[in-house]
Amino acid sequence: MLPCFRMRRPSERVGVVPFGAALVVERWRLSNGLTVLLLPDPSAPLISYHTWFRVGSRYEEEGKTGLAHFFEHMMFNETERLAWGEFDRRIEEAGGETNAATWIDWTYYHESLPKDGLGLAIELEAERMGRLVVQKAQVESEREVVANERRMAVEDSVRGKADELLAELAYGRHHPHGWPTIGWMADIEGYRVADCKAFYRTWYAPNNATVVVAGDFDPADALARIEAAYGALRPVKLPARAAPPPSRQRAERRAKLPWPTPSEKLLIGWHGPAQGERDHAVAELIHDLWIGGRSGRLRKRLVDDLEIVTRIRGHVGGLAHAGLFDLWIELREGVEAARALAVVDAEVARLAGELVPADELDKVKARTELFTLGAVETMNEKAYQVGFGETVVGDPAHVFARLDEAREVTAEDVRRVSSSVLRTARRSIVHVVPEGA
Amino acid sequence: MIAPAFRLPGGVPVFLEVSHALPIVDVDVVITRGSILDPVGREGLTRLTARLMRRGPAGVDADVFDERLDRLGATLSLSVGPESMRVQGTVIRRNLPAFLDELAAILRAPALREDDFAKVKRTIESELVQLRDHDASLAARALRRFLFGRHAYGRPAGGTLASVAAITLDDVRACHAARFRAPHAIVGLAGDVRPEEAERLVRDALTELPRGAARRPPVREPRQRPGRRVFLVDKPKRTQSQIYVGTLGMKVAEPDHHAMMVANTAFGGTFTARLMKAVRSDRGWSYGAYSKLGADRQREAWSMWTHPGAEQLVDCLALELQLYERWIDRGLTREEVRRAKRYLVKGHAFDLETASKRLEPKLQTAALELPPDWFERYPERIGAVTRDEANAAVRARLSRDDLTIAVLATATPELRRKLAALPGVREVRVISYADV
Repeated sequence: MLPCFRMRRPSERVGVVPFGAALVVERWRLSNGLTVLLLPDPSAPLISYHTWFRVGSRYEEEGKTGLAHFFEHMMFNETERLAWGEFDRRIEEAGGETNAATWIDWTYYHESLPKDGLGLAIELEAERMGRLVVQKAQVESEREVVANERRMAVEDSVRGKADELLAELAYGRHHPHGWPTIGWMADIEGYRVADCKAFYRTWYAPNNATVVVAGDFDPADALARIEAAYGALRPVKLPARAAPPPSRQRAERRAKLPWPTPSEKLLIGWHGPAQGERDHAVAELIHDLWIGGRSGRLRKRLVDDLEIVTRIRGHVGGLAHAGLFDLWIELREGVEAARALAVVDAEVARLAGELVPADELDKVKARTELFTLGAVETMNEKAYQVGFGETVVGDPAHVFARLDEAREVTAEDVRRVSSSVLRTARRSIVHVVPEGA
Repeated sequence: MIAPAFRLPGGVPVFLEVSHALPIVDVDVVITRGSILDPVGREGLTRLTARLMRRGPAGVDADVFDERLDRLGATLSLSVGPESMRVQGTVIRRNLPAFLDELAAILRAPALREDDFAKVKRTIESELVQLRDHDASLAARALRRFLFGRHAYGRPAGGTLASVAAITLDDVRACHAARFRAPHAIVGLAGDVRPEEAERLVRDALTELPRGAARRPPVREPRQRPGRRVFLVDKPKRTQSQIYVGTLGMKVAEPDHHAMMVANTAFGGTFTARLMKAVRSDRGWSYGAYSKLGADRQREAWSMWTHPGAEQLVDCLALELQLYERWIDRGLTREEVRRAKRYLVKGHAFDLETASKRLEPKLQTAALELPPDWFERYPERIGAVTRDEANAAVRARLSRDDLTIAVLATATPELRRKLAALPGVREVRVISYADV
């Protein structure tokens, strides 16, 4: 009697998700836990290949802050089969671009290539997921590069320094959202080879990653290649991940930042909703109501009517857990920041006291529609949206779900969320003052 | 061959790129007259004119105009370069007709009101002050100012506090009347629009630009200044420096432009290029290290940029000068040229990815009056470049010894002394970051 061999399927399809009106995302899972999201789109002879790891700066330990970002740099170094520099060289020779980014919840790597480069992207990404070489020489070289990146982004940047101070103020230095993703300089100076090896073994495994392919490719062929390249990589036992503790802020916090700058500046941050909450869609609409377009309430009042501000920017943190709703206000030379803050306070009170007129809400929704469509034009943008949605909220079509949510927001939603989020007791303010003033 | 889809009365070419992938449409109007026409002492005139036009058409309050555009789900911006101005917008497809009407109104008959003029001037002045926060921009601005000297390319398109203050509303009105004429205009649409619909809408909205070309005034060739000169932009408390090294490059239409593109890509155009490898990968001195070949009607700049820590500034600059000299003296290897060509030829696919990307070379080809097959034959011409041609282009176009070096850092006597001791440096001049 012959033994009975049961062929184990190397991967299984676990869903199909519409992505806008004309495209779909196929969701596959390999037996080692790797999630594969395929978005075929033949509109251009290109592919974009993303690898999202569910590890970012909030998974770090104090004393080792910035390690997730540092490791992102390490991933472009040597592997067991690729000499130093070969990864980038092969991508460039294929006419492609590659880069990576790290944030609080994630680290992702991406390649964009002509369509015949799909096999190359799979080969290279699988190689560095499983066979990276971490040695002293690479760690020392990248330490200098990252220290210089920090100088550029933080030490010599008024906005970067203010951002860092705001996070520390709002969450506290010991909270995972309170330390900078690039890391404190003292921590960057202290990484050891053993730290990097431990980080790689802990987090860089197929069961902690999502591969996204968007573009002109055959899904069956792509999946077969991915199975062949990644199938032998072994899953790891991932550490338990506790959600970061919610902020206990009960009173406004303020800090002054003296800086060699010609004018005062304000960075205001309120604790806001998490990306996956419906209220996040409302918060994004409030943000746009204030500073979207030229007719945004705050922009118009501060920049055009009163002429006390040169530039106003803002952002609603897109995190898995509660992030900050922030405003960055650059005052005109000689104008005190208190004047702008009084206007912000008046606009907060207006949102809480008056329902937003229907036509104004429609205006903001039209802008939301434009920017949603503009965020999925290129293959790289599509792959980004799929990877971000999957990693942060578990929905690869989150960008379109968010647009649907935005369309449903009511004036009463705006009043409710502004009342709950934009509270003085829940905000922190960094006040930049010109040195010597 | 690049050819317009149709022409408007007055000869305005209209280019189309249709894609129904997303329900949005990009609209571009290029005006082939830019900031080099700003009179001396009134630098920033073209940009101020563009900013004032963005305040809306005659008879429509600026606030009302902004509201209308935002309600359409549209963006609209006007930008200014040395040789051209550009009006760019994106709109949700269903609102394209209304958007074209708004756009046409500001091109034909912008309000150019007195109170708006004063307001825009104050805004621009405040933006010029805020520029002092941006170290890389300050250093880049210093490079152009000292590289081109009195040539029009050296005068900032955004102006200076003094030049903006000198501009009058009459200047702005005259600028608009002279620039926004049919013979200077090129129109492009990209996105979710059918050709016959696009033609009808554009003809309805944009046929009334005044005829008659203002002659393009002759612009003299920029002149290379002899020797290596360092301009140290002094800003307090810098932990990092910004280094821009530049020299005169070439015109876009010159026959060895493709060879020079290949050479620059191999030297500093990619992550594995010589410059990045030596500065970042081997030494970790700077997060970024790139070189750039400018391309325009006149001889533009070739430049390289790094931003090392303050303590590595002098060593990094010395290394860059060595690399530059070696590039000119010994040229590139066959392998470097091969890789650069493959990168450029295969990467050309990205220029065709979306409708707006496909539109761009059509507008550029028309604006720069390049041969109609210039873009189409780009991969073929890059692919045909030989190593000898690439190296010859570098030797022919770039000066080994005439370099302008703009460094932003915290100036000290020791730093001045070290910069002055670098090979070939004739002078080190210190200027305050507030005076750039």
